Amino acid sequence: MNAKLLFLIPLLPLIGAGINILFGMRFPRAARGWIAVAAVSASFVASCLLWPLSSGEGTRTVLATWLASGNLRADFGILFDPLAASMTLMVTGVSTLIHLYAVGYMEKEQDTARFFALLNLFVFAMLTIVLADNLLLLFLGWEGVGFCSYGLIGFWYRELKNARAGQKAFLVTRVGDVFFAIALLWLFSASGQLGIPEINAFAGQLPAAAITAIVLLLLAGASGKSAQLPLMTWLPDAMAGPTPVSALIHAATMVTAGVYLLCRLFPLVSLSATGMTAIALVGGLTAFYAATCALAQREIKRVLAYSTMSQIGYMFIAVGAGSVSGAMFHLYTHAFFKALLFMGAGCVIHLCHEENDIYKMGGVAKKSPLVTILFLAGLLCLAGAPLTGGFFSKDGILVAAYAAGGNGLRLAWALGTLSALLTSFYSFRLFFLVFTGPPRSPGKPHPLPTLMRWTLPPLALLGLFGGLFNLPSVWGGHELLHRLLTGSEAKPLVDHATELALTVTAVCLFALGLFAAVGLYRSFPGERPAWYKHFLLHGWQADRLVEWSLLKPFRAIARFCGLGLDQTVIEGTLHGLAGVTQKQGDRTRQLATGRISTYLHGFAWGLVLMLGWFLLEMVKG
Amino acid sequence: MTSFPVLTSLLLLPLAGTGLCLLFRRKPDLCRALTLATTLVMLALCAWVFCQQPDAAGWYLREDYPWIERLGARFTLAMDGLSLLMVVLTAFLQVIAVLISWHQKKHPAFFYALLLLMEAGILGVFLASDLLLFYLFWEVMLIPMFFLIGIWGHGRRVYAAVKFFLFTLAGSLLMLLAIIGLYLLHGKQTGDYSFALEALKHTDCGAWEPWLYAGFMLGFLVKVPVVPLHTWLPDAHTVAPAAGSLDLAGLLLKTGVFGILRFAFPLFPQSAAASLPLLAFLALVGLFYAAWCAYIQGDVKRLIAYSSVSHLGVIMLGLAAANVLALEGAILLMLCHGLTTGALFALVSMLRRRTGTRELAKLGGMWQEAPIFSCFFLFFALASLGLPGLANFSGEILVFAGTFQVRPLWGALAVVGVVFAAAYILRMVQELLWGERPAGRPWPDLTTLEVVALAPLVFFTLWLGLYPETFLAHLHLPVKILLEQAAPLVAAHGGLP
Repeated sequence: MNAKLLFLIPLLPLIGAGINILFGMRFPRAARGWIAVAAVSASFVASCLLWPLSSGEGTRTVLATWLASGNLRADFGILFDPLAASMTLMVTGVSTLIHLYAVGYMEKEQDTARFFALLNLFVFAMLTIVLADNLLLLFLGWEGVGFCSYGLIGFWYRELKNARAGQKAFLVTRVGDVFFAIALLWLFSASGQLGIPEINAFAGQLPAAAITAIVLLLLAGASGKSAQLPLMTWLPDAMAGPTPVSALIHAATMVTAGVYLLCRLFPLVSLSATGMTAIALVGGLTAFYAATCALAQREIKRVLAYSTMSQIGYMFIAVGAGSVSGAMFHLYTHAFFKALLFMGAGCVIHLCHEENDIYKMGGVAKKSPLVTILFLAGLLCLAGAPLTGGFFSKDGILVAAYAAGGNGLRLAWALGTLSALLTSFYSFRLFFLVFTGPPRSPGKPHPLPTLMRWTLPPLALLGLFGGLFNLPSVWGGHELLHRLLTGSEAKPLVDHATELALTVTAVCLFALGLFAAVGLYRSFPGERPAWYKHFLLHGWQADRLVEWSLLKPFRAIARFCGLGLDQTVIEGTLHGLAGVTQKQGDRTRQLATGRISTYLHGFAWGLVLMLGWFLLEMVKG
Repeated sequence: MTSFPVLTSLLLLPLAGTGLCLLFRRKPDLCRALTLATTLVMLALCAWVFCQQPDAAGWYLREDYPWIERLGARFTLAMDGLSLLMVVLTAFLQVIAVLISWHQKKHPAFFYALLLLMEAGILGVFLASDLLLFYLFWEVMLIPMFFLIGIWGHGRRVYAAVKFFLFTLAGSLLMLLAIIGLYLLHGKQTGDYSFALEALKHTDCGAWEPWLYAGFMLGFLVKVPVVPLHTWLPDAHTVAPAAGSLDLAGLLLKTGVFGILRFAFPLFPQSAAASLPLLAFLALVGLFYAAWCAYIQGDVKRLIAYSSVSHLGVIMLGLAAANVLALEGAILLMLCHGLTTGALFALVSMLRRRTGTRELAKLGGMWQEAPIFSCFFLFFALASLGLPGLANFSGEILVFAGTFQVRPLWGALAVVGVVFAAAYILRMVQELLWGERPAGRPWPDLTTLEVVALAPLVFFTLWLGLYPETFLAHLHLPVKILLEQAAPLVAAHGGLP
């Protein structure tokens, strides 16, 4: 099989985007969406067909040199190993479903050429991250997804609020990108290499302190894209975008790029114990923080946004605990059920007359039983109901974190376990508020386009039975994903009794959360404002903190430079200089009086000066 | 190599064009066609040279004629990879400049004549290999720009024109003094009074070196411009006509950087090495300071002008890092910046023609009104904020990588600058493209001619972003030679603190 064919996988969506950018406006509206679907599904088919290339060490192939100067050399190259291949399959597969859904969702929109072009471009950029064989090309994708999410979040740009949310996402993630870029430069100047396998191989030769610093920089970079503390504020606002965008970017793919980066560079990352602990702690803290915020959210998509943040926190815990397969396993199951939940949320919002506020919903179960069942399936996975995909992947992470030992990891484990309880609670809170009881706002439901409904069942099946991909041996499975990624059998991390205890704890926490939600939200409790709800609703006031600590000073300095310094001091000095020159000129002009005696005076003094100078020179010479 | 004097014809063609425009000044259409034809022929000539291979010493072409023999000044033109790229950029942007001033109403013939005269001046600066000749072109290039701003500008055009003129003149007078000083020193030492660059490189300047170097550098730094010598630039841009802004940002600023690389560094390597920390400091200060200034501007064109200063900060940092990566990156970034910023200025003047204002506060919602315009604008804005895959990134990442190798902290600091770039660019895009458009007359989208003028810029922005090798290939040799000639630069190992 020709390895160069691998380039079809990212390039097909790029071509789709190109067609829509150049000619989309002239096509009939329906054609635009189907071009995008065709491009992405072709990419999916290609990655299925090319799957065999990933076996063993994988395939590495280069299309052309991108940038070469001095000792720097970056290629358009692909590294198709099991990690990349499985991620590619997930990204293209889920994207295909989301694109199909989007065709239904955008039926009534006008400006769809832009939408589908950006959606395809996004898939291209994401696949570049996944497949790139060197860090610089990965960085191209990394910034590319940043731009596409900017464009897509602000898709309804006529409301400035949406455009601002896009801008925020771009800027905050770019802050993370800076750290990633510094790590990249550091690795390059230390090793002279940019290739991912080369860097992983070289990592051992770096001094320990440098490795720790680089890992922390990478963590900061990953935090930006994956909305982890402290760069998480953009994700809830990003829900301003159309729902398919939320499903694609803010659930299934882009936000997992950080996790993927850490996994891709795991041989490097794993060398720093401090770095690993930091990763796990950031994950644990974010999982807990976001879960608490989700408790009080009122918009259905914001609940899901915080839950995404929280679930990615789990993936970070897994990486920190040294379990790449655990992180990737949760990444995949999460992608399935979270895409399902977002797309389900799109349906719910449609059924509720474009209402976002869950306090004004209710009674959706009667309107559409199908959507209810599918959404519930997603929630069960999220809450970690026993035997669902989410249960196995989350449980695996907590076991790994527990087994890894060390104070930091134990703390991360404790935070993760606590968050599991909160997750179960807010999941069912969401369910009861949205689906049960009588409808709390009037209005006839919009009919759901067929495409929107029928793209959900495959995801529900994948989410519910996703556990089979990596079923632990305790449950009689063979941990397929682990074997695929590491090429070796999984060793039991803890003894049987401990594992059983941890699993039972997880089940109990799930049940506890469920019962608490039943108790509090089975019937609508009414709006009862409280200070702590307000605090959680606004994400612990993180936005205000950023505004005060960073944005205000930034603007103040900008005003000081642009209006103060530049206009007064620098301009003033120069004008002053000009003024002095003019004054001197005026004074000189006064000398030109026309009186011969003045001139003679000057002439005489000049002569004396010149003679004196000559004499001095002669004496010296 | 042919015996056809290509370089001389590159200078004579636009001069001939200038003459013809003045001759046929009563027939503006003919002048316009003539100007376009001239610039296209020039571009074709440059493209031909671009496909040639340099000789072992890095020269593509050299031409040498006697000129002012009594002074030892010769009419020497030479083209290496560095000047080749600059010349190609000049020829290319000048075609665009003619296209975007297609509907020039006020004194069209003089306008086109000045454009061509300026082209001749700029090309002379890039090609001259004799210091006196260089100085002549350096001044020649000022005059057309002075008139372009002073006659065809908007608003406070006379103020801005005079300011522009005084700043650059003050700088270049110091440079003239330094040139004469160097000439006399060299003549005294060797008995051979000559302005030839290659000969002067071997002058032992002794205690004079720092002063001569400073004289040259001040002339160049004003042109770059380096903070705090930059205040003429926003004013000049604010009032300049479209083609003027394009040339100013795309070409005139590059002559400063080019001068440093071609003259200041090789002539005075010791002082240059000693000055690198200061240069790096000024570059970094400029990078952030101008970014902050850009962020607060209310006028789109001023904003882009400040962003220009900020980008030039990155280029200067590359010069100060003085290794292969950083220098190649800096030169590449000059090309990229010429294209993207030039395009943004062109777009802004198209905007002004439609809306009558450039105040961000009075604009908004352009995407609704003019999607094609907005698409172009967004594209170049993204290139300007350094999105990988588009032009500026290739240059910037090389500069960053080169700087980081020399002094990690300064490299890391410069990387932080990309967030600043994102901040002011996104603010501009936000206030211009998104939101609802203010009430008033509807604005038409771009005309076919305007699209034709912008499309090549898009093409090359992508090319530079995706396959910069085409251009970098011409730089490997000149940068190597420069670093050999200015060995102390390397010994100083960037010399950054």
